[in-house]
Amino acid sequence: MTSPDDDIIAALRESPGNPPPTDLYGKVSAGVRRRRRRHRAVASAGMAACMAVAIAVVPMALRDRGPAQAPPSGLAAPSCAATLEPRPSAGPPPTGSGFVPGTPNSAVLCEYDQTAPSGRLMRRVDLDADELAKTLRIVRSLTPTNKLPSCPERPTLDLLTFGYLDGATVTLRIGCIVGQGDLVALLDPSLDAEIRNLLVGVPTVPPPSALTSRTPSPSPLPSISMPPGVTASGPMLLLDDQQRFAFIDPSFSTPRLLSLAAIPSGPSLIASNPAGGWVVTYTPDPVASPGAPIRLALIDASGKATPFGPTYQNAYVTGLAVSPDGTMLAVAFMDTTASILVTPMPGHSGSAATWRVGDAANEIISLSWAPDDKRLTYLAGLQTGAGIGGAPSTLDTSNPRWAPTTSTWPTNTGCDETAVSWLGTDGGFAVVEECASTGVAYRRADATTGASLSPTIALPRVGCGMPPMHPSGDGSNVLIPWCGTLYLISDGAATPIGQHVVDAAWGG
Amino acid sequence: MADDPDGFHAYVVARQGDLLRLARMLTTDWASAQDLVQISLERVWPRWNRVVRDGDPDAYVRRVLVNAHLKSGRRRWRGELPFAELPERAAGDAFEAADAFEAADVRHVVHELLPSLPPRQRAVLVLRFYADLTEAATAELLSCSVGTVKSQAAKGLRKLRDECERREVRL
Repeated sequence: MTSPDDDIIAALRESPGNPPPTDLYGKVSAGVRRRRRRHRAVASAGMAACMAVAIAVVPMALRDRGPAQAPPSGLAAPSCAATLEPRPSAGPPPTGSGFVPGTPNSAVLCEYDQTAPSGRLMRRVDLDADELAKTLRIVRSLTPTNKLPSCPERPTLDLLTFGYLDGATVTLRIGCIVGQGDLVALLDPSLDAEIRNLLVGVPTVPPPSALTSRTPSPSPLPSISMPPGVTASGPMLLLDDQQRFAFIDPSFSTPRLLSLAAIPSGPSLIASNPAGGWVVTYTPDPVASPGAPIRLALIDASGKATPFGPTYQNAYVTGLAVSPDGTMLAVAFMDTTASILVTPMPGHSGSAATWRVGDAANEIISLSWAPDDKRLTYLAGLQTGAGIGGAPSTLDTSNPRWAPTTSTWPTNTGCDETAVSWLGTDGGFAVVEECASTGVAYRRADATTGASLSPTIALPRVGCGMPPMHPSGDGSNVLIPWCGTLYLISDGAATPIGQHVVDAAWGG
Repeated sequence: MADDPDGFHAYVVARQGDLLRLARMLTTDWASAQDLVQISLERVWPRWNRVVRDGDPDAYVRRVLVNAHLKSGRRRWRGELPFAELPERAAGDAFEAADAFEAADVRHVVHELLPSLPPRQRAVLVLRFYADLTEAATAELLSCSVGTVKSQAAKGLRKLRDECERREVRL
């Protein structure tokens, strides 16, 4: 006997037909590249600060006692003990207060079988960048009011250990993970998961890590040749296309390699420090790609590097600028939205503040301070992989509640602004534009209206992205790395002065 | 890409047709299906080696795909509406031709109405009948009880049946 549902079920069993042809793998591959950038940003919100969670201190006997296992970077890594003792007392764990530093560079999940008398280690999972970001988000979501419900039906118990750059670890003892396939749910960003019965180990805040040393590559570093009649505006720091930082003093015949690792998924950024030297972004862990932590370093006029400031784990730093008086640093980074952090430079006092732009943009580039040390100009847009560009915006950093203002530059001109910069201290302003009809060009412009104040200077080739723009201290010379060639804009002409250069800036 | 996990490319090439058809059943059109499969495979990529080690990549990919579908349904309404008009009917003077047309008609209406069902109900019907999973497997994949699968399937089928009857599609 048949029912009316049989026809419907038969219809449901029928194939919807053949899908249209598509390069699915190619799309997935391209999507993964885009997602990596986003994922590195997802967990960054609030991670620069430490997180308070409901905790109870785990006795040292419960902490990891296994042999150290070296991570790729050679730093001390979290490891799993072979056995785990049961929790010392039944019932809900006592709560206290403590911190999980938000800047780990590794994490490992150790799963134990609590049905065995010795709490035998069943499984070890080294978390990748996405998984680390997700577990941190879950931990961050726990509050002191968390009820910490237990999961008596679950025979296993997990230890989640975050590792930090200096080798410090923080261990969380997890009673159970609630979600589809529990362990899978914890690690897969697309699945919902909840941690219950959490205990956080003795908190340790990692100190700034030392710079890693790097073996010089045998290939020669780029050389710079200034055009006749033009004097170099001091020493230069450059990043070449092999991801090497090089220090070039015009009086030296050969550039010197710096033992700083550029960010593997790049680019590392260079900003002139008007007080002397540069500020750069680098990674202390170049092997961890994608998801390499990003740090700031101060490079003095002799080429010596000193790390400072926060570590951006799973974030993407897109802009860097030091104020003309050398006291404040602006850092643009990708988060769930784009943000600008303005913070005192090392050795200077002042308060830090962060501005987030709205949903209309997820990336900020071309940060540049106005000569008044207060206004910050930049380009912002929605990065979808095709690049961003458009009229510059200006932020008044003297007022923490001040919203950015978009300039009154004309739109629908057929050109996209891809880099902007203030020039020196006299109020000069310059822009690099990519125009549909005329290609890429540099010109001086009125910062407010965009009106041209000089003839345009064409740069060869198009489609090389959004170039950095680095003026000298007096604004007379501007360095623009473009399509692998370093151009010097001086005396109304663009002159190639070096090859295989990704970024370069004069020292302040 | 240099960091393409072992076997992932071959898996995508071999299974993309089936995945796209499953996704098509869960969505409204091929473009949405492609988006859904692409998003799911992007999520699987970073943990592919682990998925393979665990032994059942199809089940894992299917789970990610269904979860992505359910999440997309929660995020925003996709503006799906059933068509109000019946497709043009055949004259019906040849019995066999009419019968075949009616079968096609049921299929047409069912596939047309699927997107109007709530995402979870739609997922139950697709997993149970198109993907041919057992009630227990469907329940595990959707993290619900077998009873929920049964009730959701019954409700979904009833909605489809009611709509077919309202449209005077002979069952």
